[in-house]
Amino acid sequence: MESDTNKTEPIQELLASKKQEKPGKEFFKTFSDQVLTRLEEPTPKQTTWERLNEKVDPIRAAAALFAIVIGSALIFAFDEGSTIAETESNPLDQADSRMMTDITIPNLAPAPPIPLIKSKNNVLAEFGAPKEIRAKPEPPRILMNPGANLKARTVKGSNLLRNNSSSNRVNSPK
Amino acid sequence: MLETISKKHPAKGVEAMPEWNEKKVVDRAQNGDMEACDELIQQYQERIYSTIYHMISNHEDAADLAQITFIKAIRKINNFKGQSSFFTWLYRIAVNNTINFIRTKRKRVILSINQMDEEFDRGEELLGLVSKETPQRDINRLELQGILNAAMLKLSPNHRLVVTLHDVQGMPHEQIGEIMDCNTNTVRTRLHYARKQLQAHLSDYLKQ
Repeated sequence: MESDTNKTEPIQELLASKKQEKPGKEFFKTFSDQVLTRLEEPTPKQTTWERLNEKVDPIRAAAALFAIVIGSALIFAFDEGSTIAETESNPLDQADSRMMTDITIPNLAPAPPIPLIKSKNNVLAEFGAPKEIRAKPEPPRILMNPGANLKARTVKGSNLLRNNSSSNRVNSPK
Repeated sequence: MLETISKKHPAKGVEAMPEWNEKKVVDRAQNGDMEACDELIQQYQERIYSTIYHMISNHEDAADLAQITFIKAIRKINNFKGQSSFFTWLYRIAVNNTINFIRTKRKRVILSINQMDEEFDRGEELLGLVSKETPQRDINRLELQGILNAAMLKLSPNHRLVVTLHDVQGMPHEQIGEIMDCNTNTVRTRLHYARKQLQAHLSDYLKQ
């Protein structure tokens, strides 16, 4: 800002010399009359376009129009993108139709609340799983006691499964 | 306020009047007195014309815009409530007209330079400002004028205006702020920037 006070700069001297650029002396003698003559003339009615052009800067208007177009395109693109995403997650709209069916079933009783059983051994109880599910599964009985369900069968008067050997007999003291 | 300004700017074209009283003349003009309108035009025509001319560097367009400015001012003179001086109000109309003109006629820039005043005899002095290393060493005054005006046209309308009002017309920052509806610091900043720009455009010609 120091150049503001420094009057010796060539650019300022050059600008100051512009003050001497004047039209011919006759110009200002007739100027006032010309204005007053024009003042008496009826004003030509401006067209809407002329009025608009006077009020609106065309560059700014073009920029605003461009911004509106870009904005609309972006909104449209987001909208389209979300529609595509929805379609991809539910192919053939099956999930949607099922949901619609389920919702529209009348008298749909809500599931009874499941009591939470908290125990040291039952971790799932905290998540509200039913007790049946939470019960420790037992292995098939056949694996625990092989041959338990088999019946002894007698072939020609003798039991095949019965071992009568003496080595296999346990003698209990009497 | 009006009285103060009236004393600062005595009438130029109305020598017959003993004392120029802007407020009274404006009052008369507001009452439809065409002689008062004529007085106002004569009082401000040179300054309004030269402000417009220095902003667009074209005599014909400047003359037309200056006339339009006065026509608009006289037609709407009853809208003038005296909140600022009549001079400031008139300048605002001129400046708005000119800026609109510059915006709409941006592509059609034709220089039509006025001759320097015959009484002005500083041609050699001005040429002394030109650098000896200028590409065209034998540059004359008219060419220098043309180069300066072309450089002015490269500035934005607001920067051109502030340079015109301050450096060409010698208006104080405060009054420019009133006309441009901005504060004094903005005026100073714009002036500083505009000079820098002009210096950059004229760096081949001016002495450093």
